[in-house]
Amino acid sequence: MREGLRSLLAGEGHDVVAQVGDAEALRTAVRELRPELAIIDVRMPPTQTDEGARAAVELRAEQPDLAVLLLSQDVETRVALTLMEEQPRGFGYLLKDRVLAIDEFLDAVERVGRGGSAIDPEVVLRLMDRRDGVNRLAELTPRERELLGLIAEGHSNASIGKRLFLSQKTIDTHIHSILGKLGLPATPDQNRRVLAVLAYLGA
Amino acid sequence: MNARAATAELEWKPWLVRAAAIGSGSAVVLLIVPIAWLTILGRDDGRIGDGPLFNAIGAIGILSTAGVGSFLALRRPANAVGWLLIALGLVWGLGGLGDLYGRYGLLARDGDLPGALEAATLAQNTWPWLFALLALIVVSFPEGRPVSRGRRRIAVAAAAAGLLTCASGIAVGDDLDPPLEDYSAAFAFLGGAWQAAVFVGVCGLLAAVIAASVDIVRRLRRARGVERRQLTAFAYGALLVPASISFCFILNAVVDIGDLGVGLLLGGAIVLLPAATAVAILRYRLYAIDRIVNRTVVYGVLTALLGAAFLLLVVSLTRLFATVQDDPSPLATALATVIVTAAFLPVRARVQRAVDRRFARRRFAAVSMVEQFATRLRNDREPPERIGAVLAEALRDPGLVVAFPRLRGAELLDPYGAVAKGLPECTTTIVGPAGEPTALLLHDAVLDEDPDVLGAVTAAARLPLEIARLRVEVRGQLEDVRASRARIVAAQDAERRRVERDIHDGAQQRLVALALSLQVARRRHESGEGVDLGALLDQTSAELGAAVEDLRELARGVYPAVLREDGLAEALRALARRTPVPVTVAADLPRLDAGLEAAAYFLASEAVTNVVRHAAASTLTITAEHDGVRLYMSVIDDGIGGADASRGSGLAGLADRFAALGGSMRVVSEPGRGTSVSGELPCES
Repeated sequence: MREGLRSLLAGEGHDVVAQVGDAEALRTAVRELRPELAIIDVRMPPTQTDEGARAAVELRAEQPDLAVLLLSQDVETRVALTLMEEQPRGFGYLLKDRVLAIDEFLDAVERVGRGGSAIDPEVVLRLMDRRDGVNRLAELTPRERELLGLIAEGHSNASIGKRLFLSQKTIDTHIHSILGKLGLPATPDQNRRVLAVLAYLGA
Repeated sequence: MNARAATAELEWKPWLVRAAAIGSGSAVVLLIVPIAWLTILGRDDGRIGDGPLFNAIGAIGILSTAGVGSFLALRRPANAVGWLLIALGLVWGLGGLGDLYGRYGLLARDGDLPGALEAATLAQNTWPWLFALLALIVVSFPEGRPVSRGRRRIAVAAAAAGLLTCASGIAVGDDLDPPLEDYSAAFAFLGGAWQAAVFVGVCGLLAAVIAASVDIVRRLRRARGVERRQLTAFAYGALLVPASISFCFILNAVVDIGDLGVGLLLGGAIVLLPAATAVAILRYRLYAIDRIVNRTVVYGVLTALLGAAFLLLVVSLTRLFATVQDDPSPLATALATVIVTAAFLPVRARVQRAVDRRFARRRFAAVSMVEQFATRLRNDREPPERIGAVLAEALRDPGLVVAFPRLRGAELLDPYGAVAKGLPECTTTIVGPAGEPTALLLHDAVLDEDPDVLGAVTAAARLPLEIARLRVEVRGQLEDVRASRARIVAAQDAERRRVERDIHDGAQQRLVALALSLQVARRRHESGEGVDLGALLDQTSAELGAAVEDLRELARGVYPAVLREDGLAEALRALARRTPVPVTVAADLPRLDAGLEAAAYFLASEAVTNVVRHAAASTLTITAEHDGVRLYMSVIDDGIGGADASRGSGLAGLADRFAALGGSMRVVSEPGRGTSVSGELPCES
């Protein structure tokens, strides 16, 4: 898996500076090599529980500029939200299987590496499901809901436009309408916007 | 014994004390010899002795007081009561001897024996000392000296009054008492006016004796525990003397029992006083004095009641039958006997109850409280768990705890099934057979001083305790079953987690990686880069093979196919082949129930896994035997031992699995002596 990822990223022109097998080696490598991005499996030896996630939190505290992309076996909205809220810049949380959708995955890697966010659609879907029908989410049109999902996943307006084949103007209108309906502040900052949406959904 | 008495004892020379105790006692006892000699010398003269009756009583009195006093002084030299009893014997003996000598000398030998008059005078004035000594004994009992201020005052008053009465009696010197009324007393050196001093002395003596009696009755009422039992024993002896004297006279009036009978009865009663005193001081722990007193009173009252009824019946029946028959007395007697005999048991029960209510009020109240509880329990109006509270109230020990020894495990349980703990300084009373007690009572040590009450109450509580114990037992078993169910569920969850992790870390990981590498290859291919197809396919099929092997291993862990298809013996051999340690398998078995085979197999595989991981064993033996009734399974290694069965969740889960099938499992693992895991399951093949 690790080897596959390395070859994928290297093929895309990224510089893979280290591959390690456990949390301790991860800490050492990140401290010494100071990479831009760390892709970390939540579950790592020795406990095979949440070693990776805990190492990620620690490393982010030491190096606020370090972008972290967590790969997880299961969707855990709580872990994702907590980590996102602590430091929204350059954070991603994806299911492992997303790796197989190579283009999307590489997109997420780049986005997070540049300081953006990447939240797994599954997480967003769950958050939206949980809220569905009981509140203002119900007022959204299907199109607006689709857009809200993409915002929560961390996509920029441009990225959303590309996916949905919409013009920037249309997207701006939609987003304005969504944020208005949900009572969220319209902020130009991408991460703050993701955070606000996630916080709204997770609350 | 108190501390002061103990130190006093240490300060004395032991041999001197022993010599004094034995010597003085023997000296008094030896006074019997001249007394007997003089009695024999004067046997023809009716005025000299007091007759065989009083001679016998006197002899018994002297011997018993001096003997018991000497014994007591020997065992408890610091206790004044022993020495006072010897003194009592001495006064009694000297008085008797002096009196005899005076009478013999003056009456039989016409005064030609030296000092006969003086001896008689002195002897006739010894009596105040008898009363003074009695009062001193009473106030010194049981501690060995008058410990309170009131008792010290009585002691001083008794001694002073004794001295005054004796001395003034001698000094005033009136005429002697009969039969020496013709002689004037010796040493009369004070005038008749001094008679007043004698009067004052006698009044003082009387007051001291009464005060001592009142004091001991008051102490008896207030006393608790040991002191109460000592005082009861003493009072029992003291009361029996007047009681048997009255009984003796009544009996003698109704039936002629002769001088010897009266002598024996009174003598016996007199012996009882010093004997009871000695018992009270030395052996109060050994005898249930309350019960003796109780029985005495019951049979005394019973005898009086039935005797009176018998007399009344005989008299009235005789009168009745006299109208129809000439000599009705045999018939009347027979009928009265039949009636009295028939009445004996019911009357006895009633008298016992009445006496219990009056004299053993605590025991009576306690027992009836427990009996009432038992009745309410029978009528389903009380839960048996309340027995602890009822016993605590009945025995007046709020700290009392009822505890049941648990069938398994060392701890004691209270009636509600919680762990029972007595107060720090409690003692334990076992209810029921010692080997397999029904219950234990953890209670204050004070209750042991009243074994009568404790025994009666526990006897009455036996059935409620048994019921409460059974309920605790049933609840305990239910709890065990519940706990085992919870463990089975937990084990199942743990197993699911393990399987999930194995799938995730094994086959799934491999497959995702494979998919990824195929995607990467496709991407390269599309972008026109060269792809080594042969290498890619080789790598892919190798990865796929590994994933398949992972899945097979996993499936075997979940339920080995060989176990299902070929049975336990074959599965064990397959297990042995996979194990890196040399394994000997002894298994010659028919096919058995799938559940049994699985339980036995997982015992073996869990044990083998543990051996491989922890035991550092060089050989391993798996044995499975089947005798048609049970399946025996064991895994024995020669490794380091010291395994703890309660720590490994795998083994605990297996124990539950065995228990669920009605079997059992155990682990023996002493450090350095290898480990043996064995289990047996009932099975009918």
